[in-house]
Amino acid sequence: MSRLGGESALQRARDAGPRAYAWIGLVALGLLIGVYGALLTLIEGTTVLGLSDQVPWGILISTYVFFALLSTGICIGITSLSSVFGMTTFEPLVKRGVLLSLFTLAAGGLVIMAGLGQPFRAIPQMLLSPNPSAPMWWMIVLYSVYGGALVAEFYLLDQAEQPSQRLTLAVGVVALVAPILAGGMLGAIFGTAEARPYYGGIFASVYLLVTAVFSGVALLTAVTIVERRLTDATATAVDETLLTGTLAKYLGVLAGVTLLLTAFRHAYGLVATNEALALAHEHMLFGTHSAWALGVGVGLGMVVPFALLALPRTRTVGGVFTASVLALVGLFASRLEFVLGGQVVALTNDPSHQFPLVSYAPSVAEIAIVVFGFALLAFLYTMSRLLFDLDERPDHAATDMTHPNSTATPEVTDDD
Amino acid sequence: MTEAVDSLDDQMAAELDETDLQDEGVDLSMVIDLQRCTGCGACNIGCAQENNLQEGQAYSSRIIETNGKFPNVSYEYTPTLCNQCDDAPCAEGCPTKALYKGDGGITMHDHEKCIGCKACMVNCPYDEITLNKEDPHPRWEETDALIENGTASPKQVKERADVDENAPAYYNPNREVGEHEHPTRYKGVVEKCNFCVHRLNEGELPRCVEECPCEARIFGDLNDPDSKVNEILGKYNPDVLKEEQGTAPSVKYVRDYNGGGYEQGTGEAGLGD
Repeated sequence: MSRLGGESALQRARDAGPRAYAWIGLVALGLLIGVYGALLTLIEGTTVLGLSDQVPWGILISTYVFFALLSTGICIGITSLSSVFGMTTFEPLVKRGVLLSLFTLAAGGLVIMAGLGQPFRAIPQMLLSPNPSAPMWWMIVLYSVYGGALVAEFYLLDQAEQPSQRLTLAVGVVALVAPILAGGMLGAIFGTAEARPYYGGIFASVYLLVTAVFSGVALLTAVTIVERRLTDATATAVDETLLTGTLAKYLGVLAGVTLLLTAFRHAYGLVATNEALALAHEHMLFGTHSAWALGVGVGLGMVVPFALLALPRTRTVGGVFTASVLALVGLFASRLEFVLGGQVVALTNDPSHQFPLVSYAPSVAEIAIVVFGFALLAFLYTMSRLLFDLDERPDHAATDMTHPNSTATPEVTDDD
Repeated sequence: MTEAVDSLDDQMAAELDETDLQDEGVDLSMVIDLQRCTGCGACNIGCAQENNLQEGQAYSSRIIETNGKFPNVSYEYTPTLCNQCDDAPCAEGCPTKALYKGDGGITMHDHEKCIGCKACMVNCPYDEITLNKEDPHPRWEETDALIENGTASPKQVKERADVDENAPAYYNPNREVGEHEHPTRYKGVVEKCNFCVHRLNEGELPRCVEECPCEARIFGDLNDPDSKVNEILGKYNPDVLKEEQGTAPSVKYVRDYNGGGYEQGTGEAGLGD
């Protein structure tokens, strides 16, 4: 048991001083802005969103994809390696990883619900009138299972007294398999839209799952580095060599793979004989969206992190942090580039529509809802940081390990 | 004395009378004769009236294509509507079965099941699904008059006409007939053409078919060998939009319009036959 009492949590917040108050104020402001955006959309309808019949999916969908894949990536890329495969290296990250997975999933759910035309009937209709031929239905079912598995996993990590190894492993397996399938289904939503070849068919699932791991590892790394700087307990629990060694190289490889997949996507698109497909890639990379899609998404989000992590000189804690944050900013842009790219070229030359290119710009309400997602994530994690001891290792490790700094040494566990 | 000949509309209406829409063997289809179509847009206007569509929304529309360089330019006008695809990607991808294949092969939409996720709009290759971003006809709730103290505001007109305050303007009782048909629509759900199923249930042709002054739209059951639709398809090789998508549209086009001509070549076959 490692739950910290409410009094202790308050004391910890007070001890943190003005910096904590400023952070809480910022999060509260974000929540207020978000509530405004969500209520505005609910009352006025989706007319306050920057969408059109030609661009029905905008920044809310891309932000959902960003959050859902962050959650997916943390679990596949870090926590499952410990909980399912018994890898001890990442054990100091497991508890915060599980919570971050849960909260990014919640933030994603909030953002996508706020953008639905009829948010209140979404869950009942999914249950009452399911359509198993729709990838979206499967994605929601699988992410719901995943959310349940994450809650169970955290309970076993934090609350349970010596949980059974079998149960822990079973929950861990569900928390690994469900997000892989859910992420795959998320890709299938786009990939099965055959009218929009920009999404790449089956490649959409592969691309999104691989880049999910990149984003998940980057978030967990960035959050851990911030926590190490703020609290001694984390600095003790998470050794610097884990960050600048294993995680840095892991992130570097993921940055390289993501860069390669992105390059393939665009190269195939640019040379395609399908005019609409080639035009979409040209427009996203070299047209009006170039600055953020290519500059931020690829340049800042993939090339710079890869360089920072590849060079031994910059593979410091600061360098790894910078690379992680840039990767997250870049992937946020890349998610929008992916979602929007499939819609920027008009499907038909209908004179009442835009042709051949379709414009889109996020509205104030959409940006407010995006802020809501980030603020909710920050709020939930901050509260959890105050309430729980996230530096604690999983129980089996705590009994096996005697020295907190031996994290970088892989150990053979009972499961092996 | 010459015998009165039934119009095409009458013949199609008679066929419809004999067709049981609930019969599993019925496969409704529309053939559009591009030689007859003049591009007048009566179908679009009739559709908007029938379905109470407001500005910016259309179930019935058109696509255009221009080729060549001025002054040698060709212009092609193709009227469009929901293709009621046999393999409808909108229905396949709808997570709540709000879109589904209904009687007569019509791709139906149940507003009450629609969650407004817009997946159907992304999946439709023809851009034929539209989203109600706000409650239809918001103008009728406006309280500002065009000329202050001179004209009535839209809201006042609605009140004077004794329209129930909660009933939206342009309430259309004709659309109450079907199980999933609604006399009005509301924000947050998508909409599309359904071959005017509310009219079909009453034995009437789709409004666009009825409105067409050139009788360019032929409507009927593909599985009835004697239907007018089959008669036309038996004479002309039909095209469908974006055939490569494999959606098997029920809306087909015959006699691609070509109003021009040019010098005959030496190899032109059959000119003297």
